[in-house]
Amino acid sequence: MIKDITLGQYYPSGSILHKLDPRVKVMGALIYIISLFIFKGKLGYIATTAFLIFLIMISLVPFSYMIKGLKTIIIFMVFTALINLFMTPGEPVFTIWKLTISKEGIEVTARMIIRLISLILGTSIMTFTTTPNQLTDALERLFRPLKIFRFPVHEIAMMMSIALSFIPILVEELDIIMKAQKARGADFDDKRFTKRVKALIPVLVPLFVSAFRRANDLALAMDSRCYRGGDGRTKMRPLVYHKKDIMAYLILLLYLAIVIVMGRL
Amino acid sequence: MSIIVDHLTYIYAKDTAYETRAVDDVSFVINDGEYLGILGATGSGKSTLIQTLNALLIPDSGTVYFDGKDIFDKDYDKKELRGNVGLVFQYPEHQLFETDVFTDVCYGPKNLGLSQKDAELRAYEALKLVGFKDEDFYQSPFDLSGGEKRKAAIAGVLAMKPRVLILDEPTAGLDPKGRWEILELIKKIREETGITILLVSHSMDDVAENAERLIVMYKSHLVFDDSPVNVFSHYEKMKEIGLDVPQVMQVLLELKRRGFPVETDRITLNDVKSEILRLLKR
Repeated sequence: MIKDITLGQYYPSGSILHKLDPRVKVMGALIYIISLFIFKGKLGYIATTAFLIFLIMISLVPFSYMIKGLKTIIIFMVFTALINLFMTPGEPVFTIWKLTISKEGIEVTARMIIRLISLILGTSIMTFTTTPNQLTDALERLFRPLKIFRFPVHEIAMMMSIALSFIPILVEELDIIMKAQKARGADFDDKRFTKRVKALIPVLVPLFVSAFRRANDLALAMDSRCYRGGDGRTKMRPLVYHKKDIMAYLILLLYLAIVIVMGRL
Repeated sequence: MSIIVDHLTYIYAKDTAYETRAVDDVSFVINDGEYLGILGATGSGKSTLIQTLNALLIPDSGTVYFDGKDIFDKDYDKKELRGNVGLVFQYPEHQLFETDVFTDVCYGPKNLGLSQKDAELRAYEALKLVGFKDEDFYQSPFDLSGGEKRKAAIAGVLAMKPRVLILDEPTAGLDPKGRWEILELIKKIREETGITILLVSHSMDDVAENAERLIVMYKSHLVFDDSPVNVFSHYEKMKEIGLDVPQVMQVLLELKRRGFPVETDRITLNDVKSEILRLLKR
């Protein structure tokens, strides 16, 4: 049910990607996103798709598991595809009622779908291979220069990592509360909308109560361990670049160069 | 025969890296009116097992029969089943949500399709059964003490008039007095309603004092299905699987080890007391 949502869920397959420094993966995802939008010709698609397939292969995450994540945004994709298909003016191919599909429309749609799928898969490879905590670590480190502008980098990273670590806890709690209310005869599958919204009250009230209780406990626990923000705080496992991380950066730059060159052709 | 569990297997997160067999080929019978204890260390699969009994979880293979009918049949009324097989989750007080106790207890019977009046009648009976005073009915459930909250939550399930009541660690996180109160309450509920009780626990003492039959789970498998005395006679095996024997029985075992001629097949406080007195009188 709720647990079936795999978009961006960590998948521990122990691949080389998992062992990379999270900063490399964040930058990698960024570079990949940029690479998707800087080319014009058809060759660019070949380059970006080939690189994506390469990443999927070395990530050792089952492809079926990734596809499951795509399902959740399929409606969004169909919607954008339809708008592009019908709204692009150009040489008409065929007409249904008042709607005309043009040759250009088909081309634009195809390109857009490929870009969208690449974008989602590319970024989810990062989240499939990086735990949320590693991710916040990386972001905290990457955004550190912003401290000069008094931007609270550490505080935001801490909030993010707390929020992220609460998600699985709350999902599990939600699951238990839903089951407990189902055991009391609650019906969450009713067809009528108002009934379904009403059925959520017995779930949301306990969930909020428990979220506040947990937040309160956590605040106390942090306080009693003398947490006072990021100044002078050291890391137990500081992020250090290794040889393979440098290699990964080089591969990424090489890839970006290839896309730029191929996009010009 | 009330409930038959037939070769039940439940697998979490099938076909992913997280796949685990939580319940593996488990079969047993729950008789009408019985007080059954389910023992098992953390992660042995007991919570998963009981959630299949009222079709909250659907097993990957095997099935459960309630009154001779397969509860996983497509046209089996799950709501009616959940009314008949009441399940009290661990820390049930976390599921209270209404503005007052009475309305909260009405939630279950109303879901079963009862009229407001009938639901209130059942809520009243249930709250009385768990020992609530009239003046506490309209308190906010969030203002009650831990033990009272739990009683209110149990009343919430009892109000559906189940024929089988399953309680998942009902004494977890309570002080000794609260624990004793809950166990006495379960006994009282059983005497007054003749309901079948399934007590899931990892306290040897709780089940030894109360259960008539024990089911022991270990690593997703059922390892014992016998009377408590017989189960605890395998004390070495029990220790091996992360469990133990009741504390009072440990006294007898230690006495025997030191050469006293005691019978060790006593597991309740009273039986152990008379056994030790017998030894002293000799």
